Amino acid sequence: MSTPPASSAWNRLGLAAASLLLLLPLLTLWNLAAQSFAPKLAVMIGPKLSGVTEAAPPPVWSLLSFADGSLQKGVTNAISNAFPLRPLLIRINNQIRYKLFGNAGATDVITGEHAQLIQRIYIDEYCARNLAAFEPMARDWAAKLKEIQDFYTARGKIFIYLITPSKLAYMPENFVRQLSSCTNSERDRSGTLPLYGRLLKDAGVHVVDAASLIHGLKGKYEIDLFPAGGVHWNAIAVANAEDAILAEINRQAGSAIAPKLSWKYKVVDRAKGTDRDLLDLLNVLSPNARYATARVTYQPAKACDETPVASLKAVMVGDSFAGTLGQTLINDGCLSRLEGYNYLYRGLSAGPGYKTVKDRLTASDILPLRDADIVIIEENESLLPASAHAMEFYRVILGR
Amino acid sequence: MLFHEPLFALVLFPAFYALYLAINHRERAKKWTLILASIAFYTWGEPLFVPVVLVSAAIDYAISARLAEGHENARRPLLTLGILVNLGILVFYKYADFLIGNFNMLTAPFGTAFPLLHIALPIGVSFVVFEKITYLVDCYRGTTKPARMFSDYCLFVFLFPKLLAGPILKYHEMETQIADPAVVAWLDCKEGFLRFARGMAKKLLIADVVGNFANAVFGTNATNLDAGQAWLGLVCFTLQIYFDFAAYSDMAIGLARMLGFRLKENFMMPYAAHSLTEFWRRWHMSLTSWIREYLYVPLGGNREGEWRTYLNLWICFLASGIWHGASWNFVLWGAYNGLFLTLDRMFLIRLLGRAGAFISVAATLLIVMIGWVIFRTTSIGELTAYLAALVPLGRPGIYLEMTPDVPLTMLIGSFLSLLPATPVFTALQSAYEKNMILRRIAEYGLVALFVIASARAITVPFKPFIYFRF
Repeated sequence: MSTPPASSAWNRLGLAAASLLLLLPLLTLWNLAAQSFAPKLAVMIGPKLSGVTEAAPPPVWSLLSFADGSLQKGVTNAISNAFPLRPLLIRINNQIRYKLFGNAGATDVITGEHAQLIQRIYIDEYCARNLAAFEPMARDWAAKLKEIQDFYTARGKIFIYLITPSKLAYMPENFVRQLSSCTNSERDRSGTLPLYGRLLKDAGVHVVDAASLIHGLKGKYEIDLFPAGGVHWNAIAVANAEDAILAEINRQAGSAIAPKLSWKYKVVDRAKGTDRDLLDLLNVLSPNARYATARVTYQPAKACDETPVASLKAVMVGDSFAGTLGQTLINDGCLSRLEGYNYLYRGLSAGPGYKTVKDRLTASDILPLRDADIVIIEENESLLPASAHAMEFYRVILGR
Repeated sequence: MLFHEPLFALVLFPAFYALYLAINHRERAKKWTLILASIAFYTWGEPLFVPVVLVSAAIDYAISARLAEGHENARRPLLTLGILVNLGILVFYKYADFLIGNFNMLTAPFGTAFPLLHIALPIGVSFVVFEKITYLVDCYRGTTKPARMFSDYCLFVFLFPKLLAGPILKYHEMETQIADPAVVAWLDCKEGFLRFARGMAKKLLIADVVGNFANAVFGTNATNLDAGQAWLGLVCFTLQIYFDFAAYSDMAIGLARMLGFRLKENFMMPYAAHSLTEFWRRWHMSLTSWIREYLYVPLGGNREGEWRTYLNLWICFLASGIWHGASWNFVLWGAYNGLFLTLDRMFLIRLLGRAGAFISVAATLLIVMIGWVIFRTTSIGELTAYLAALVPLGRPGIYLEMTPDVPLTMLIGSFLSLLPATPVFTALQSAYEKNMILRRIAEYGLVALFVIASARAITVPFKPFIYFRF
């Protein structure tokens, strides 16, 4: 065994090595402390990670939790999250996996043909579509939607049921391999939306079927209406949906209370915002955001304050697809008083940026929904029929 | 807390090691630091079991002082007592429910049924108990002198690098190192770290990847598998069990080396073995050597004639099987190995020797792999169904998703496992030893693998969503 003399050089070397080794644990400790009093002072190396994660329960300091190991789990989570190299290491891992295997390992993001990204839940949903099982549920849900609609129309309000499209249903040809293991039929997969449209029509629901609209526009523009690195619709799709919504508002109002929009688009080759939400979720070191998407500019025919709809109180209960739409409806569609209830209770969005102004809503927060002048219930076609937020809305409004 | 977890590898061990290096020349302080750190390490994972080990270690220590001297009539009962105390711990924590369950099954016609205890199995209990028994037996035999101080014995029992999964140590092999911990040299740091990095890479980049697929296959009802899936699952498990266990040994040996300790090797390219006998000389070597020294030889070894030798082999491997887990599958796995070791002694090893290297390695690997089916399945019904699934009958299987990293990892794992069986391996090894550039490349490669493996370890629990959809 090597036993070098206790030379001062060795001592100095040992101390230097010891100091270096202590650096990361000390920074971790600092980050743990900083999280409680000044999160901005935490030292994290590497680009900030994207996405939200389930918050791990904080450690419970008790003998019982120590004996059953839950304290150790909590401390382990807290320390791992405070490790200064965590963002960098996660991005290194994901970059390697993405380059080598086309997946980012830690997320449920799947890469299809032409670098198209999708989340596994959409594939699972698409493969689970079953017309026979869908029909009775959809018929029942259409009747409930009609009840909500009747509640509002009886009060002279405008009610719109909006269906937004799913990327996978829009471009299944880019995910042939992933869909090869589906046990349902092509008829099940592509027949759901038309069947649902018929059932809604039979029930008399005021529907804006933006999903069918966007699917129908496939190939009409020089780019797809979903970006390669995003799961949500792009600005052209949103503009088309907005046109349809404003037209429906005018139809129900019996006059042009909302403006007819004029817009033009420009194809760009660098994605931003929701056009790269899945790409960002990969959390790789160097995400390639150079793919075609669009920017839309709106040209108002007249100022919003001269438009009747601007003074009306509008609400939209929806999921993540409602985000960009809500922003555009406020800024360009003149629904200036629009408030968005994200997943009904998750958060309230309002104002020109459609920013979240309040998180985790309570029952009293959603009471104003009953008195709105314009009510839009949005469901994505991947959540049909009766997504959790829409069903909860039904219970809240009708008290059933 | 496992060695590959970021908490240990990236935070706690570096902090502890900084302190350890800072007191590198203060032997006593180092020893106590190591004892306290080791006990803290075990307490973190097994807070309720540590007091049991401490008390039993005190009993061992008290007994061992009297085992080394005095009349045989006094020493033997003491040894028996010491062994019974340790086996009692093992039986209570590991086998109580197995024994109660089987007893209940046997006495079911009489209407008696004892409730199961549902005791959580402390990690590392089998290793701890075997080492403690080794100490007592060696003191009794005179192979080992009793520990000078209780603290020395505690350090032997709790030394954290080998605590959870071996290698199984003998006190006399560690006595000097424990009594007088060596000053850590730069070479110890470097070689130890590189060995630790090798273990991290094996565990996180190979074992866990193929292990996920193996778990998916073995978690599926085997009647729903086609032969291809069953064989793929088996290959994955064959790689997983080797790379996982060998990785842990690498990490243990590496950590110990960083602290100035030398532990014995535990694996030596086992899948390159030409017979099952050779396989067991290369696989979990510290357990095999333990069984040989503390069970096979006392039973008479091969000194009592041919049939007694076969019987002894069987007893040893049945014991080895039951040591691995409290289930009849492990007993069967031990019997299976005992059978092939007996066949080796009767004729198989000679037959394979004449068949050439390729056939002998392939046949041995096949025997080992079938053994892994017995090891991995959890009931006799599951075992027979899986063995049937391995037979290609053209039966269609259900869809099982294989992540894209599995095929490449399988390929790399198989290559690394079987390369030592090829004629080029010796030449490669010799070139590596002679060529400094190659060695440097390997060192930098291991550092890079450590970073990649750490990145994977820290990424695995990170599962982000764009938003909380439901």
